[in-house]
Amino acid sequence: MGSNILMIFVKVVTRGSGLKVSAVVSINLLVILLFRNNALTPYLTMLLSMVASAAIIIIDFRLHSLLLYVLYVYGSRPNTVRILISLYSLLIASILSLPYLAIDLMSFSSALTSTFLIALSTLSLIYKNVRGGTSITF
Amino acid sequence: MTREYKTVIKARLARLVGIYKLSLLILRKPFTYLVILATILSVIASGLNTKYENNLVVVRDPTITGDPHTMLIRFSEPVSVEACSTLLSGLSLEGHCTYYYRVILDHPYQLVKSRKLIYVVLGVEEEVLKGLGLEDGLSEFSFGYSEISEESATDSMLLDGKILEVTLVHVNSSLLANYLIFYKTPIIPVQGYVGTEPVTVPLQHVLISTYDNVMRLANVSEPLATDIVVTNLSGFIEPVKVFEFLEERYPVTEVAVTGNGYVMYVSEVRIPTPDSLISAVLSSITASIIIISIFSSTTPYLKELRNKIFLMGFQPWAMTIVMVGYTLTSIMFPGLITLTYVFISMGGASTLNSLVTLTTSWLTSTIYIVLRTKPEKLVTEAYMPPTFRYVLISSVTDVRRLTEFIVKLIKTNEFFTSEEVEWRVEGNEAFIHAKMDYVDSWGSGIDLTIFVNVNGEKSYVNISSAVFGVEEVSESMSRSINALAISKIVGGVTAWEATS
Repeated sequence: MGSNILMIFVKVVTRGSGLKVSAVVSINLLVILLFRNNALTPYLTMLLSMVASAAIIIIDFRLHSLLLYVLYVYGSRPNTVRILISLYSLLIASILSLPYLAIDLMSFSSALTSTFLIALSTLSLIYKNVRGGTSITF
Repeated sequence: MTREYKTVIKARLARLVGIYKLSLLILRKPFTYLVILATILSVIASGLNTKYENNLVVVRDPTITGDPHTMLIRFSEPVSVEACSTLLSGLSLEGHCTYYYRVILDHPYQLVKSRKLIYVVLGVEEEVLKGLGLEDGLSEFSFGYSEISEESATDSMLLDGKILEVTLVHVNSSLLANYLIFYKTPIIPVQGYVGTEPVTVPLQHVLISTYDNVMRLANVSEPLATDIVVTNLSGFIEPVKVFEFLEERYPVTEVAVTGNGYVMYVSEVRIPTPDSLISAVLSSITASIIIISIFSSTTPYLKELRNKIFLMGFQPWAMTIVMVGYTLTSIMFPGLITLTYVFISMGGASTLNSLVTLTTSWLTSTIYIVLRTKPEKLVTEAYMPPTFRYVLISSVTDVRRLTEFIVKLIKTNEFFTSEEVEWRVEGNEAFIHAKMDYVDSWGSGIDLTIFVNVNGEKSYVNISSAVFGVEEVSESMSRSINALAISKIVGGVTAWEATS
């Protein structure tokens, strides 16, 4: 069952639009940050990343619902489902924070990156809770 | 107003109200907030990332000699003549400064006896006056004027309600009109250009005098200058460098420096750099990706909405109007407000960048959503559904052998893995049920039900199929799975029958 669940997860990640959208947004933000000439730009792009991360939740809504259903059919435990969704959120958050990690090596403070990661993780947490609370009834 | 006309108006109003309510319905959806946020943030990010440079123009003319270099500095309002010494010492340069006080008056002075209005007053140094043929200089309250016939005349000048007795000294109009303080820059202020030719203020409205006289007239204590010409410069200097040095201290509008065969002009006009435009384009791409992705996920909902309003009797263009209205309200409206903020806080160059971002995002998003929610064409290609029932007539009459062979074909189908195969033979009839998983797509497969019936010389194989999938299986995928499962049985039995 474990390998099946892993396969489902890989399929959701590769077939969903979220990963592709986050990768493209991430590349764009990296270039914007490289061309920046204002101290506020990193914060604004950070907000833009958060909007993108929220948008990804909407984009892949149907796929995620399907994932929950399939996992339920496979007899997964609620914690397994939550771990998988958190893993997915973390993956998206990491991709969106890659520009900051790349830039941080050159000039930004690590605090900015941490703030960004925390913000994204919070958003992911909300997403996880919403999904966990409304869609799964074990 | 006739009853019919009233009915038409009422029906049209009802449609308008319907479109308005539909727009509100979409606008109230949570994804609208994300669209608004993405737009606002992209527009501001684009404005913030703007880098601009002063407009640099190079005029080539082989007649210009750049040795020694000459520089012209123009200000939007009079500045202290100390500006020149500040500049020379600040940039470690040497040169000779010539000051000009050239103003166009908002309220003209009036020469009472001559009945002329004076719009331009020029204050220049003695050496310039000599160049204009006024070698003897001008005494207190004496002004050079080209529109008198005698050598000198007295007149009364009305300025700000006071009468001032002045002496007008004749100045050669040709010399005055053609006197240049710099390359193609006349001493008379330029009002505009016809083609490349400057249009100056008519000489009848111009007075010229010494610096002291003009400063007295302007009622200022220290000498001021609107233009400074630096001659005999110790070396060539980039006008951009001069401009940047001066703009922090004085209201400079233009700096020009002569070189060998060219003049370089730097003006206060600022244009965004190519880097900055790349940033604007990237911001718009980011916003467009986010917005389009959101729209993409809401397309099924919008299509459902479109079908519903069609049933209510709306025209196909109603949805287009609703969607364009939606993008205008959710992207353009907040974008324009943000653009106003960018203009006020960051200036024109940043606004240009933000405008590029806003327009691109709005256009791409609108085109995408309008195309996605566009009604399907009424005439489409006829679709041939895959066959889900197939009857094969065979000459093999041994029902058990035939059934076993079909089961073997099912189990050896390379496109499927048999999840379950069950079969039963009773007399001249047999029943086979198989559930097969399609190997190329996870979670989809086919369910086969086959009846074999032998009647006299012939046997009849009735195949019924049902394609399944945990996700929605597309038409093409369903057709492929169905064909791969049935063709194996039909082809296999036919070939077996022919060779056995």
